[in-house]
Amino acid sequence: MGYVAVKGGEEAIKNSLSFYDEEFKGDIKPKDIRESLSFAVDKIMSEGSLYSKKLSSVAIKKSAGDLLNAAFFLRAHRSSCARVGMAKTINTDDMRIIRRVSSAFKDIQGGQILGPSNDYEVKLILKKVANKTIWSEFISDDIFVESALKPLRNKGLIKELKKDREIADITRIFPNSPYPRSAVLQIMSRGEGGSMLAFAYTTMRGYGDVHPTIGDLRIGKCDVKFTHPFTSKEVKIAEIESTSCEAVGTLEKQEDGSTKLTTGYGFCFGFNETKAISMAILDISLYSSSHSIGSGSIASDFDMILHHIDGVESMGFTNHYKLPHYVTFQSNLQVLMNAKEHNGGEK
Amino acid sequence: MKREDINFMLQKADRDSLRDLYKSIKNKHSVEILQSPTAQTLLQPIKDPISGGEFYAGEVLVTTTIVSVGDRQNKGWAMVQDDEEQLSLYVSVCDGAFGAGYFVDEIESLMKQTQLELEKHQIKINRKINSTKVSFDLMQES
Amino acid sequence: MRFAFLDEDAKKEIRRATLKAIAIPGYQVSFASRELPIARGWGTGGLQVTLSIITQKDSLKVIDQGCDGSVNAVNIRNFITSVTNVETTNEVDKASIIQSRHRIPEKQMQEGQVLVLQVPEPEVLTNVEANASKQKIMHANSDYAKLWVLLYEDTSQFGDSRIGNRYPVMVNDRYVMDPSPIPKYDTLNLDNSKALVLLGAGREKKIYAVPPYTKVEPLKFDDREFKVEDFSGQKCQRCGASGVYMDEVHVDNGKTLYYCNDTSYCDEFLESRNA
Repeated sequence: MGYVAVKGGEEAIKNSLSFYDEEFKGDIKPKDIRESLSFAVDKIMSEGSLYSKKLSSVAIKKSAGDLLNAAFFLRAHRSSCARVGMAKTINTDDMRIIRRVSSAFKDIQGGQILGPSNDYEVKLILKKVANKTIWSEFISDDIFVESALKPLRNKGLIKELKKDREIADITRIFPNSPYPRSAVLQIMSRGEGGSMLAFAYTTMRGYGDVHPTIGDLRIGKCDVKFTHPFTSKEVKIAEIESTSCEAVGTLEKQEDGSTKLTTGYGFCFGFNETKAISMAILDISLYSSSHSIGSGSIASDFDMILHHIDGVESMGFTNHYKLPHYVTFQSNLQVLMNAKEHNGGEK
Repeated sequence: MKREDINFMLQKADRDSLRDLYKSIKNKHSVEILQSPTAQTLLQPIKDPISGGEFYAGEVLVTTTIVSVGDRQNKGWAMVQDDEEQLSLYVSVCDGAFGAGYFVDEIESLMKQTQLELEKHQIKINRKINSTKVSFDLMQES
Repeated sequence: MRFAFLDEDAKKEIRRATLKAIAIPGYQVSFASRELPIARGWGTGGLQVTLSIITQKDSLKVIDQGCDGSVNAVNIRNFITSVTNVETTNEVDKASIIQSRHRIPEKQMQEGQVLVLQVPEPEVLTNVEANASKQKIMHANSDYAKLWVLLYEDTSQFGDSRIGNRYPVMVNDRYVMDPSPIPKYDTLNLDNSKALVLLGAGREKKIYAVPPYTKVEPLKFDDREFKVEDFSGQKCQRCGASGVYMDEVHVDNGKTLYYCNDTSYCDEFLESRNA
């Protein structure tokens, strides 16, 4: 029985990493990941809060498909790059649309466009399908169309929230309650999809009262623009794929006595409809909970949502329990022994 | 074609043609790298339709380069998407040359060629997208 | 790589938060916690504090669970030296900065030294009040009634608080503070400490401090004793020291052996005995 309790881990750490590399990482090229696992790549970009398809696919390879870990790689890389400035604001009404649906209205301006989707695929894993469409039969018009909720908004039927005077940036200052709206949306936009889905789901099942209608759900490309330093004119830097969702909640009496519809907004980098819908539902739940009839709505509590949906943080902390806790556990055991003694020398 | 179109358009250009163009410029004029290609991020604000305000969705990774072409006064700049050092250098040199009036025809011609390719590609994609439009009228007729 | 990894703006901001924390003992100061290449919850708060204060002249000691050779300590030490090249040491006396998780060194630290503690959960009120805005108000009013009720309930049922490690302490008669998951044995060493104690929580984005010679008292009823972990009658099987925090090791024949938890203390004690 040697003394060494936790000493001497250095060599083991090194070997463990070599073992991991040999055991879990095959020969797949980041390019193949990018082209064949694009939803995984997109998920990492949005949770890693860094739009880079290239590094996102490298991160997926490095983490052998553990997507929480992959997002962590991307976040850490972000800390090492200087931030050069702020791009021009993107308005998703200007998105070059690839897919856009609304479940609120049957016939909307611009139409229901299914885009590339497997929503209606019967999920039979072993069935082989060979669908071929002759594309040349179809028109080639560009599709740009504003949100299907715009007409209702223009008529003043939709509840408006107060706008922040300054945009919060939670990566620099994590605000205290009451949280600025821009911080809330930023936290959700980089939140972990699964956590957000779970919280959003609670609101539909009695822990809250959101029964949303998808007003406008879209995926497509948005232009990233910056200023040319030498000509001082606007320059297009990039096109980014993104998802946005506007969901409609219910009617709500406003302070001025009028009755309006509540809505929520979701946006994220990449194509990730489940996340954007979840975000829109959480938005409704957070900002329009006054008529909630559910039994204690978890997802209306800002602290509950804002502190528990970051995948990099929750994953890191949950895994830290793997670290040695000998000292603290020892201390707990002594408390147990003292309590037993207090209880009349219980054995 | 404006100078401001160079940055995006040449990112999409055929890489070999772009490299050749870069080499021709470099052979004719002295190119000095003032800021070598550096990975940086751009904070991306998104409009919030509910409050009319904005929020940050995250950061966009870009690679930025600053060069001078010919005279030190003729600065060229590029900010290309993602981690792309070489591409950023090529584009910045074209930007500087264009600003200085060098190789303008060659640069414009590569841009036009690229634009044609992009348009062709967009038409192909658009046909696919339009094919997925749900047509309620058609359903009523049948 | 940049000296100490973080960019200068980040360091400046963390130093400012640290200064504010020192000026208001026990008060949690928010800061823009950066993402590091080490996972959240693995010491990123302490690490950011260390990276922002470390200079080329510093000598660094890193311990985890009382041990310089523990896997996480090794990992953190390697990361810091890879970005700073500073000297490292196992000896308390030779270190100007000691970063630690879950322990305060047995050997008393001196003026001019800095102890950086890694903190998983900085908010002492979380167990009695989960809502962050309410916690803030409670701290502002120095309203710790809920903690006292918890202490009362535990005492009536179990004879003492159920809290083993991270025992709440009152700092400078003003703020109740989470001392990080150190055992109760260590809590007493925070009182009137000669060294500056900085506490960093990366995931929760908070820095707080106990400046030198500050009063730190565990929360307890006047008529109750503050019971720390007891190892009386036990001797370290390796160096023979007693009266220190011990690791219990259960060996195959059913016997329990005790060893110093603080390995550098153990080494020094052994050396002085052999000398």
